[in-house]
Formats: sequence, C-alpha cells, structure tokens
Amino acid sequence: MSWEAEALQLALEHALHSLAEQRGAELVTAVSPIIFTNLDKGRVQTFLEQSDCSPIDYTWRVADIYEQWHTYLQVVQIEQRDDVWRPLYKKLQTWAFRHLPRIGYPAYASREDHIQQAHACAAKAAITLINAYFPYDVNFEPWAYVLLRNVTHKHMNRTLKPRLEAQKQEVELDAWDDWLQNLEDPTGHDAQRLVELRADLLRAIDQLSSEARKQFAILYYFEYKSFEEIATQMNKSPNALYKLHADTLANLRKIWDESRDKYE
Amino acid sequence: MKAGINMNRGNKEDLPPDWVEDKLAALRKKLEQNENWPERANLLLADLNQPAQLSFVGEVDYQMLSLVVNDALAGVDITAQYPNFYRKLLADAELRQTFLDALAILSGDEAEEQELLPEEFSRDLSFLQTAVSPPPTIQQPLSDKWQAVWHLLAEQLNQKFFQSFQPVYRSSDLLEDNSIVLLRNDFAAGDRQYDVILEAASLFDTPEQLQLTLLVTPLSDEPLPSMKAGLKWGDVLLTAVPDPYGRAQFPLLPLDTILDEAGNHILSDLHLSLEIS
Repeated sequence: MSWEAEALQLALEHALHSLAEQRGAELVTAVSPIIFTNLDKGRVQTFLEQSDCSPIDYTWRVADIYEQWHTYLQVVQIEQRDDVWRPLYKKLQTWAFRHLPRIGYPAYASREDHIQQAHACAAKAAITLINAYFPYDVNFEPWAYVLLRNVTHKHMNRTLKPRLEAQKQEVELDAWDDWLQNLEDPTGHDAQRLVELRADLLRAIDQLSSEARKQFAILYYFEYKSFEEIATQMNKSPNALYKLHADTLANLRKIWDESRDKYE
Repeated sequence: MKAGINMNRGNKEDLPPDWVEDKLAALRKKLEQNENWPERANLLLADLNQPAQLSFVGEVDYQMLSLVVNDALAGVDITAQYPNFYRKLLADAELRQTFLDALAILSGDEAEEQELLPEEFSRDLSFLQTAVSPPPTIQQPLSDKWQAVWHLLAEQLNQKFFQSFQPVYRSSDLLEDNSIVLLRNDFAAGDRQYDVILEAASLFDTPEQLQLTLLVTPLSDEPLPSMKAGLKWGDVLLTAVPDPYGRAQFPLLPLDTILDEAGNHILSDLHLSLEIS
C-alpha cells in the first residue's frame, strides 16, 4: 500500500504513542529516531508498499528487533569487543567462502586462493558492518549477510572480473495488475470459452515436465495449500519450493504459449 | 540462524503414485459439472492468457532482500506477506537466485561440502582498530550548557570511504543502503547520556554531493533538549538543528570541496560539534 508522506508520518506518530502506552516511554525514545531515520531513507515506504503490513506493524517490528538486538549491535559496532567479534568474523569468513563460488569464483582456482579471497571479503565486510547503519527492521544475520554479499560482489568485480551481470535487465513479468480488467466474464457469453480455457489449463498442467511440478501446481493453485503445507507434503524445504514455483510457472507459460501458437 | 519453519519430514506422507492423475481427473469432472473453480487457478489462467509485459527489477527490490529473507527464515509466508516482491522473484532469475542463496547459507540448509577447516579461519581482528570512533572533547561537561566536539582525521575518513563506499559512483551492485556511518559514539554530558551517529550518504539524483545526517538519541526516556549541530569539513561550514526525534540533516556538501581532483582521496579533517542551544 502506498502512503502520502504526511499521512505516514502521522500514522507512525500514532503508532509510537500506542507503543509508549503498551511498552513504555523509554523504548519509544530509543526507537523513534530509528523509525524516522528509516522514513527519511525511504525504507518505511518501501516496506509498506512491498508488504501487506501497516505502519503500526512496522513500528512494532522495529521495537521487537530493537529489544532483541540493540545490546549486541552496541557491542559489535561501538565497543567492538573481541569475544563477540571472534565468532562473528568466523561466520563472515564462512559465508564469504560459501558465497564466492555462487557469484562466479572459478572452480579451477586453488583452495588456498579461495580461502584468501574469503578472508579479504570477510575483513572488508567487517569494516563495512561496523560503519553501516543498522535499520532495526530486520534481524542481524540477514542484514549482515546481504552486506557481506554486496562487499563480495564488489571485491569480485574489482579483483577477479567474474562473469557477473552488472546491469539492470528488463525481464518479462507476467502481467498480474491488468488481469482484473481483462479477465473474461464467466457469467456472460464467454462462459463457454472460459470452460475451454480451464480445460486447456488442466491439459497444460498434465504436460509439465516433472511430477513435482504437477504436484506443486495442483496443491498451490487448486487446493490452496500454504508453502509450509506443500513443503511437508512434498518432503521439500521451503527454499526448494520457491525455485520449484518459479520453474513450474516458466514451464507452464512455455507450454501455454506453444499451445496458443498451434491454434493460431 | 536456523530456519523458523517447522519441518517435520519424519512424518511425511508421500503422495501416492496416481495422485496427479486422480486429481486432474477430479478437476476435469468439476469443470464438466460447472462447479466452483478455485480463485488462485483463475488468477493463473488470466495471467497465462495475457501477453507478457516488461518490468524492471530494480534497487528497491534488492533493498527488500534482507527483509524478505529475514521473514522467510522466520517462517512467514512471503507469498502472502510480500506478494509484489514474490512475483518479481518468480520472474527474475538473478533476484531469485540471490534470495535462494541467502536462505541456503543462513539456514544451513545445504550439504556442507564447502566449509573452512578450523585452521583455515583467520583470527586476525586488527581491522577492528581501524574502525574505532574517537570520543568527543566536551567543554563544561557538568553544566547544562555543554558542547561536545569530535575530530575525525582525513586518514580515518579515507579508510572508511574507500574501504566500503564510493561516494561518486552509483553502484549497480546490490547495495542495500548507499551510506556509511562516519562516527558512532556514546557520551555523557550535563548529567545525561547520549548516542550520536553521523552518517554520510550518496544520493542518486545528486551523486556529486554528500548528504550528512546526524542522529542524537538520549539514553533515557527524557525528551531531547534543544540542541544545535555544526560541521566543518575543509573550508565548508554547515549547521543543523536536531528535531525532537534527534534527527538533523545538514545541507548537501559538494564532494569536490573535500576530495582531491581525482576524487580518490579525502583531503581534510572533519569537525563535528553538538551543543545545547
């Protein structure tokens, strides 16, 4: 949902007032600057536009994450204590080591070089992490990981020149937004055509190239299963399901478009 | 960080071999008998039946990445919580792979064939010494008319800027937030404690200028007193007044006033002052 700037500011102020009543003024004093800084950065607007959440959800989210992480962030970014940094640095190195091959670090390179590159990326990420603004609307590890990933990308671009795509690309995106206007009226004279299309859809699903894709299509589109339920039923991790969904949709579109070409 | 989703694979019931065939047959029968058709399937049909349209996957989508990964790991149904972002995930291979990589690495949900051995980890934490913010000099610290002054050396600033941030270069990389914290400190003055952050950001519309933002947070529930902030960088003098939430944005600073001709080196120290007004 899109918000006007003034309305959003007001909504956040109301949410903070409510937070103060329920969880105390001290917490609100701490999180207010964070929330309004995130507002200045456009982060709040982005979150609200891209999610199904309200300003009050966002405020509570920041409050919860602040309570969970602010002491740790203090130690990491301000005190920079060795006892906290040792395991964190180890984690950054592990992430960098695992991440480098995913972004084109050559498989033929020696393990020694791979380790060296991981160390270099982790050290750079550590400095960046210390100097970065933590928005408190996300837990520490996803934030730190994305930060490390960015640093690793830069490192690869500047030192190893991998095969990375460095430009924004126009991608085909199925047109969800206009379908409401263009969906054929099932109650009108196109009802027969709609039945034919639905039958074609079932035929297309039957032609999907793997049993897993067929199962997914039926469970998700026809049986309204959640991802968690599908993951359990198909014995797959949620990670695998995201990929399966994308592959199923791409496969279905290919079959559908080919079947339209035959008719034309 | 382990995935928040409760996966009970031990109790799984495999779908029977003819499950797909039986389900499709049942759906065809439903169609013949004119029964209600699932709305999600209607959406899928409408989607397939429309010509594909072009759309951009842009920086905003990458900015959302850590938020969506965070929630996916916590077991949130991101298809429902972030429908727009999820559509883009389905459509864009790079964004999707970035997302999947993040999930795999953060949840440990993959074979551990690529691991560093204990002796292969570096234990050198000397980089921490390069990132320490200097404490302020405080005049009249016990009075309610104190002034705190920070002095950041050009050398320290160069390490921060050119280690992790290119102010004159708008990266097409996956930068979540094109800014860095120049100073982060807590200090005591006038019988109270405060947190201070001075952040520098590069703006997309004016890449030749730097946005400097100050954030002052009282470490108690008392409201922030009226303050004013001053910043001197090279020959440039800027002032700002923190709002009731402690935020103060200085006027934009032209980068050519603080960088050398090549744009590779910061020439001047930075002085930040904060005082009760």
